[in-house]
Amino acid sequence: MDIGELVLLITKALDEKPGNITADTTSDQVANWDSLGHIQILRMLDEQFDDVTMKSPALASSTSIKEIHSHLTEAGL
Amino acid sequence: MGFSIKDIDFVLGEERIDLSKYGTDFDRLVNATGIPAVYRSSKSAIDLAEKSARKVLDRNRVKIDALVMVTQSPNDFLPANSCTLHDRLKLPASVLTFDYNQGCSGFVQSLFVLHHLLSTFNHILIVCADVYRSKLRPGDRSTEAVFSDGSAAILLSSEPRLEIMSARHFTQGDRRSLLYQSVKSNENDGYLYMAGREIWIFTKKYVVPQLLEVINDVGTNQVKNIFIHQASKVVVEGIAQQMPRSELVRQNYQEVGNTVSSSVPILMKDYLNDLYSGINILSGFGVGLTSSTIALRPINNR
Repeated sequence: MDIGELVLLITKALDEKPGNITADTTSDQVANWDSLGHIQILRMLDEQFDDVTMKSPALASSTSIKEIHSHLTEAGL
Repeated sequence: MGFSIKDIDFVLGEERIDLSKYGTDFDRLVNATGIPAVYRSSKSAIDLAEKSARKVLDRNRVKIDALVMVTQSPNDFLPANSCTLHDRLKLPASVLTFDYNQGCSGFVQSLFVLHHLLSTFNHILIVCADVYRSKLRPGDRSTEAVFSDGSAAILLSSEPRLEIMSARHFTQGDRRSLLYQSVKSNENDGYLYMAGREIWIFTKKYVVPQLLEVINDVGTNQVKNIFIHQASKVVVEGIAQQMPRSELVRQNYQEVGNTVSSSVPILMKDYLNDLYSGINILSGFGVGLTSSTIALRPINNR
């Protein structure tokens, strides 16, 4: 998937303002991207991509947009 | 092996904490956890256990044969907390006492173990009690926003009205560090550590299939209620979405938060009569990592 689409999805999952999250964002740069925020991201990814966290459990420990994008690409998305 | 769950009662920590104190992102926090307030106690797990046990014992004047305390919030390393509770409750010396060291799966596991003892005993009192809030690192929102202190007391009797129709257990000891508190104060400064995102994956990968196996054993149409550990909204909703009849998944995390070992019995309290008119699924999961799911069937419902 296009990394820009992923940025939009994660912005929505974290309830952030548009523009606050970019392709270069890491979790430690966003207050809302804590453990609870990450579960919101995982839920959203599962809803969008048919339980992708079961195919790619490394998504649970991802700490950046690029890392998540890489795992989704490896999962064939 | 027939038995009955005669009574359940509970207490929560005496201080209600409105989570709006965490500031402007309160709405987002509650949206994730579904828990607008939690309960904290300044007292010990034994104090809460005594209160919940007295509520049950005051209503049921029976001779207790065994007292089992389910807790991971011990007052002392030794003796067993059940011995201290035995003294507080002034129970007879003939009572068998022991502790059961598990968290959110503790009630379901102890019920599975103890129902076998009811071939020997007439009445067993299980008292679940935890004060996790004293273990939390200040400012750790992922734990501070979900855990409540509380205790639930459950009176079992040998009257043969229920049986365990199906049971599944799962332990993943190599992942114990995902929800962990060391006795050594230099590890995580002595605070509880919870890897919430990995545990969320655990519930999807292992707890959901376990529930589906048990439900499949008993037949979906026979199930009256599904009582699962009330971890938080994301967990309860995530599991419910995977169930064949999600409307049967009962919820009360909104009112009491995550009360650890007391979670399932507190949830069951308002449905005690339902236990004797259909099949009920009980599932506890978490620290260990462990997960146990059982199906209770009324004996007249074969």
